[in-house]
Amino acid sequence: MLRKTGLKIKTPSMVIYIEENILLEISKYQKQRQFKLESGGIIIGYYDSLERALRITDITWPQIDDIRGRYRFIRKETGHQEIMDRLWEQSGYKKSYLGEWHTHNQRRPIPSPIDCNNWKNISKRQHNFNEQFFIIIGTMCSGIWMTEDGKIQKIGEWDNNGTIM
Amino acid sequence: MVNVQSEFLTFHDKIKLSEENQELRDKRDILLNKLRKNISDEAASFTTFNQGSYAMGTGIKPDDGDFDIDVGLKFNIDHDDYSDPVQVKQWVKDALDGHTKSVKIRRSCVTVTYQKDKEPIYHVDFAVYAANNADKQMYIAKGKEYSTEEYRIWQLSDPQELLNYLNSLYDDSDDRAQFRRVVRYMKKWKNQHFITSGNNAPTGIALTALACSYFTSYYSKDFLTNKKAYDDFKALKSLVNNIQNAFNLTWDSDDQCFYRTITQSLPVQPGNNLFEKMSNKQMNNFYNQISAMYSKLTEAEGKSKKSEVCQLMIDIFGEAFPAAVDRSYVGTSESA
Repeated sequence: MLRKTGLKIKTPSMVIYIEENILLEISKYQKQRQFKLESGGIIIGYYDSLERALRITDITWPQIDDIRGRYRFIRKETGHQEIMDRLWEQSGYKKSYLGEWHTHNQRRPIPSPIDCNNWKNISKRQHNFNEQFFIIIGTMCSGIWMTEDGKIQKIGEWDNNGTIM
Repeated sequence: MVNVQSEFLTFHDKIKLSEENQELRDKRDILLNKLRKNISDEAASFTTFNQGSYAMGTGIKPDDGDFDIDVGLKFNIDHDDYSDPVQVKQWVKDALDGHTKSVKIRRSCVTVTYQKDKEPIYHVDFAVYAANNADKQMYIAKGKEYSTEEYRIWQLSDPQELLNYLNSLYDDSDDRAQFRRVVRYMKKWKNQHFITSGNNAPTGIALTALACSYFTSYYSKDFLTNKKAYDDFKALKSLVNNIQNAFNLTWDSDDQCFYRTITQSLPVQPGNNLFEKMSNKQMNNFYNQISAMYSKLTEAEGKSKKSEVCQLMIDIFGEAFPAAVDRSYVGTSESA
């Protein structure tokens, strides 16, 4: 049974919600077992000033220019930026880029050194939010990491039923 | 207009001096221990409490790094038994003297200044009260060491009343939290736009008292969750507008012109006019600054881009207010 609500992740500095629709999409993806080629996209969300929490509300899927390999995924700007622009406007300039997601053909994903470098580089760029989030979807579990002050830390993990591990 | 509530909250987190600031607590406690240990045997017993913006929850971090801690000392005395209030302040000064380079009796308090490389890094103001009076009221000791008789007085004053008064104004603690945020925004604005020497700028307590008179909380209610979504921008704009309207035209016979002037009494004892020390010209400058802020806030309402609204807020509050971009850039990414 897939849980009906989003995931709530508490870190020492903040609260993050991953909304239900994203968990559903991830779980659907895992069940279709499309892990031969890596897949990925960006993570989008906004700061909920009522809850004082970041909400991850949208993700993008691979776009035409992206390069999908067995052990790599290169995400280009084309497509993703346009989706971001649209959500940015539709949300009254609230929704912003929050990070990246990609898949690993692993039961329980572990970031590679290339992933870690990539995340650190992304966190050095100018963004609307100070923290960036990175999700890796494995065949059984998904993990989420965040960068804060140049450091990477794992902040959560859940299985394909949406159960926090 | 664009919703900038989350930017306001980020800004607030950046500027607020929280009541839990450990550094300030430690410094205060060192001095209080020193005071308890060294105070002369002839001095009366006392209890302490936090006062000022720190206790009110309206403090902001200082721009120049000169932290200010206000501590109240309630001496167990009847002011009628001590005709000279400076004598009581002298107990405090003598006990703390030698701890740092500077312990001074000022008109309303005893000030201890800590210095580092000759720059003050923080100071603690001890306000001295007679707390065991026949009329059950509190009196603050006023006067300096070399003041003449007429300036050595016990003045009716209850600093904790202001906090009670604030709590009585708004039943809802979330409304009070918005009040405190908006007072902090006003203080930050003041630091940005006034030379703080002399009586050029309105005092923090004057801004707080103005807010007591003219602040209204603003929020919209989510009908599904019944939660309030506070709108600090609207609350601030309405406060600024109300303050602007509270000014009157006054003829200044020295300068031979009309000035905009304002009065605002402290809503609790002693109820004095908190603008009495400002000259008409200084009050007129305060009015001009208030009007300029109001124009900027009005201009912000007409903007459709968050970055433009944020830029106007940066003009008002300085760089502590977060800037926003017109787009959220996604860049590229390479994973393995």
